[in-house]
Amino acid sequence: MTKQTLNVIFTTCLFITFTWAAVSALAFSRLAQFFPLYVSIIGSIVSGIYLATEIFKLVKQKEKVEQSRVLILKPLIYTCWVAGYIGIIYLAGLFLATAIYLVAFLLIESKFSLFKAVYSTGIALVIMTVVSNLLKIAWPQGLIGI
Amino acid sequence: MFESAMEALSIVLDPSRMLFMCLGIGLGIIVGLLPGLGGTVGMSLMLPFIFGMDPFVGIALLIGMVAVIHTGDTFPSILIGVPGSAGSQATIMDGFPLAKKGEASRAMGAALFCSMIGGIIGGIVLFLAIPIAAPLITSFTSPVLFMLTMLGLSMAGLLAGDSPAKGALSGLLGLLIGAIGSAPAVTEYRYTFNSLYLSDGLSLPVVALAIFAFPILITMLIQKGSIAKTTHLQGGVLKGIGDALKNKFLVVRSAILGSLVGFIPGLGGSVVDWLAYGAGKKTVKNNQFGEGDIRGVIAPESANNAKEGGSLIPTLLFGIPGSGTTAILLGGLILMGLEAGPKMLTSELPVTLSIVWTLVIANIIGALLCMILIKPIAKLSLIPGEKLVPFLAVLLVIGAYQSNFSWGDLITLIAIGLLGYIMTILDWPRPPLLIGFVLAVSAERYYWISIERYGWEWLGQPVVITIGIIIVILLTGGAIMKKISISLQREGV
Repeated sequence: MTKQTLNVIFTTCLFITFTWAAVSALAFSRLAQFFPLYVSIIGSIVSGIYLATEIFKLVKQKEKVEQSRVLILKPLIYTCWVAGYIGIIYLAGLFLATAIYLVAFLLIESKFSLFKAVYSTGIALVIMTVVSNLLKIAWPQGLIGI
Repeated sequence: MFESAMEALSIVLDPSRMLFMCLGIGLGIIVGLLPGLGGTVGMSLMLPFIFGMDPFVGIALLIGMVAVIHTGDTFPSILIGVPGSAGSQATIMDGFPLAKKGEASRAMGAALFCSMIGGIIGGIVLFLAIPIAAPLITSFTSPVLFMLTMLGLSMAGLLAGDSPAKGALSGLLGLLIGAIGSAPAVTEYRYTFNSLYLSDGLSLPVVALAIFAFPILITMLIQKGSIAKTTHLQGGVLKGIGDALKNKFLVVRSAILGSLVGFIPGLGGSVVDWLAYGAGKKTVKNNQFGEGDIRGVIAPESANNAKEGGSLIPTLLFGIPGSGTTAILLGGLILMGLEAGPKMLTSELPVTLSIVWTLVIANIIGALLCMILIKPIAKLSLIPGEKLVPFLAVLLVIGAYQSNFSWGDLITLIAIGLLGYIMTILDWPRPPLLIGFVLAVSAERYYWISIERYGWEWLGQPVVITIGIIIVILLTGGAIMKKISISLQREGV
């Protein structure tokens, strides 16, 4: 996907969001509505104008200039790594999830050897435990209660 | 006053109190280093320990920690482009590009030195402000506070880059996200989808982490290279200190600005670095802000430490917190049997003055400690992204969870993180979004109070008009100066 096409899609999403927010704000009471209503109306107008100019530019330049492309798949994969980590935390708790996530990531993405991956993960878990105990940092608990 | 100050100094220098101050400094640096924790979380973590403590010891611990958070948060901002706390976002703009050029030590040297000077100036401002602050702060009406919030929002326009439309939309989106949750004027929930998590609104640390840290992690993985593009660190700590000394007026100017912004209740610490950065960008000649200009590090770093001194003025004298951190400090004072207000200038004056001294001494010790640790920590910038990112992701998740201890924070991290990443690849400015988000609640609150109390007459108030003119001058003046600068460049002047 080209950068300009993604920009148009993103601006369209913003336009829809601002417009929806403005319509939703109409249902709020007077004191609750004025701020989000004004903000979303202005946002809707500005995003509408910006969207129109971007579409115009896109149509005008479509065949003349080669557009730079944006990566879609790779960022999604890396986002899935973080989402997956959070998912494992939900199931197994932070400690176990961190161990699984770090070993897996270091082996697959960072191309560490198994020894290095386990070693680095061990150090990270020790530091994490010490600092957490020192600062009384709360850990998200998983379904199995770890 | 001078005798009282000397007496307070002797109290602060007591070895047992110094020990607690050093403990606070150590914790403050760690809290600053860890992205997402920040002053508010750090302070709340300390609160259970100070219950019933001797006020001077408790103050040494709390203020010792608060004073150096913005010294510690310099490390992640410069080395990995992740804000250590909400007040160090602007440092990334030039600090991170400098690290990419292999000049991390230089940027760190300048930042830490400026943090120290800023902190000292903040302490001095607090000291000087004590006898004169009372009549001034009571003169601030809600229309003035609203206009000051607008002044903060106008920074979003100044920081929009090449596209004002993108900057405006980003700021408006931040304001809209900030409107999620309960309305300040009435007990009504907005855009919550009947979710209990959203009823409190989104947490600032989570939004800041998601909008800045998350995209950086993804970008680092995609680029699969080290943060530093050169293999050895050029320049050094002393060079950075020299840069700061060369720009001494910028340091003092930014520190005073930081103290003044901190002094204004409600503007908060997340805006001060951007204000200083924006002001620096407009006042420094031949700048290359955003591309690794050392002055882009000096301005916000001088301001964010100085802010703490300023924010303590309304907190201690009127019980009005200038930031989230000082709001928790207010609770800490109560836990120690103290009451913020006029008493802090009469019967509790030694405590107030001990706060001033602690602020100054902690900034000096904190900065010196960080300067000693610069070289080993600066080497972090040479670690390849794919090796650093998994550990940072763990920090990010733990940091995000600390705000509300809610799973909603982790979902928000992913959702707004993706928004931040899309904005990054499409060259949409992200700082305006955060400024809008931070100022949304105060903008709305001051606006409706102004309307309810004064109708539209408040628009005619001289102070309101003056601030309005300043906003217009800042916005139009910036655009005019930019045009003049471009035309001069074209002419080869």
